[in-house]
Amino acid sequence: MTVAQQQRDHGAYTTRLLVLGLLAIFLMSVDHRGQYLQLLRKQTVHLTLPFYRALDWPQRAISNAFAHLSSQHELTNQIRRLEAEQTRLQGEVLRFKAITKENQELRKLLEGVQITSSELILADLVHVSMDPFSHRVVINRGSRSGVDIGMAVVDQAGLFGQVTESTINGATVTLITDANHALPVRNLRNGVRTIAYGTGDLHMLAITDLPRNTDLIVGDLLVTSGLGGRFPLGLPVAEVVAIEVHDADRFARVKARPLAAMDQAQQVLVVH
Amino acid sequence: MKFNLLRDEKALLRMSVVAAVVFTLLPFPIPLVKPYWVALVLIYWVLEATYFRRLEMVFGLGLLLDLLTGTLFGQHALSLLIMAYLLLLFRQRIRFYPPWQMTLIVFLLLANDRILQLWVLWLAGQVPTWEYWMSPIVGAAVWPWVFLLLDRIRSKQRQRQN
Repeated sequence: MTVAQQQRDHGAYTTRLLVLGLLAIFLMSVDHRGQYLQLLRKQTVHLTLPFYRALDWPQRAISNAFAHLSSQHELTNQIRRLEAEQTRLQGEVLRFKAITKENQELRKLLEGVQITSSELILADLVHVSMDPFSHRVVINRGSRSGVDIGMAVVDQAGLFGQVTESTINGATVTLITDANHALPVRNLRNGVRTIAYGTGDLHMLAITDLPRNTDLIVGDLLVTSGLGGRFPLGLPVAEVVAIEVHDADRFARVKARPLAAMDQAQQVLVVH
Repeated sequence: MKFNLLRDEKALLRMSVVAAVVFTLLPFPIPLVKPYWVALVLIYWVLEATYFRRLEMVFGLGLLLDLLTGTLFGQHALSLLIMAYLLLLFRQRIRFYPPWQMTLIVFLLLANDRILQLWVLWLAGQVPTWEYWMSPIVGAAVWPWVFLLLDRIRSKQRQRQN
């Protein structure tokens, strides 16, 4: 390769770099700002989700094989533990039914909104490692099982996220800790309503627009307020862990820890 | 299309890129520390063969990766693009470096890429933790094995052809 040829090559590379680089920056800003690329993502999810499922399959097969190998003793123990748990939960459900009934009657008295009975769809998380910053996960249930865009997703402890894309056999869930997520919540203790924002940190939600004199203390439980129409009312969301008040600020800075195990959940429930 | 890894260099190219994408999506103990597999494979093919001379291809690969990992649309495209550009500029020199020096170059490229991606993340309002900076070290540690594996298969291919 002669020197002249090499230099011509370099010139061509530089032009390409500039054009494509600018295109990339343009695409990123469009993606960050607008809704246009949401459409693209919603379309491509039909291609990407089957791919994720295919990747998940061998991992699932391996863990199933290990489950077969686990000893009978271990399994017996597990069954005993689960049976105990089952009994306890059934007791709780009885209590819950009574409370639901009472709640509905009270609501009738208040002429408030009726809570429609909700159905739960059990889904497994698909083991795909997405970008650690995007706070999205993939589940193995889709529109065939009744999972639809906008539905709330919970784990045993609390609200996990909401379904943002859905195909026949799978769906993506955006976690409540996603930096772009905002969630209307209510303080269970006194009913004060506010909005909890995702921070991009899996263990933290932030409330940034609460006046300083609002009654809120560390340890308060935040539940969904049902405003906005996305989430059912009263799902536990987070516990307040820190309240910072700066003299210069008109608003308090509140940090809350999500109750759902964001980074450990294996199975979740989609609230239908 | 013949798909024989031991005969066809292009088949190896495709397989290695697909493998890199799959490795990217497989869970890693600490997600932030995961080596940048696609970049490692890209570095290999830009240096050792004439593929990926067209930056449009690199750009497309980056966009595909963006869709699959759920990053901002264009983030990986820009990152891979700049990496390929730098490699193409200094290709003639880097190719003949001894292995340890090449590993150092790979480390520098990956570290440079982290700085670039930090800029994107920062503009998007996210600040990574310290593990984020460990990825280039892991990447550089993995690089010799990626290099040796691909090089071994290709030299086998050449032996067969002769």
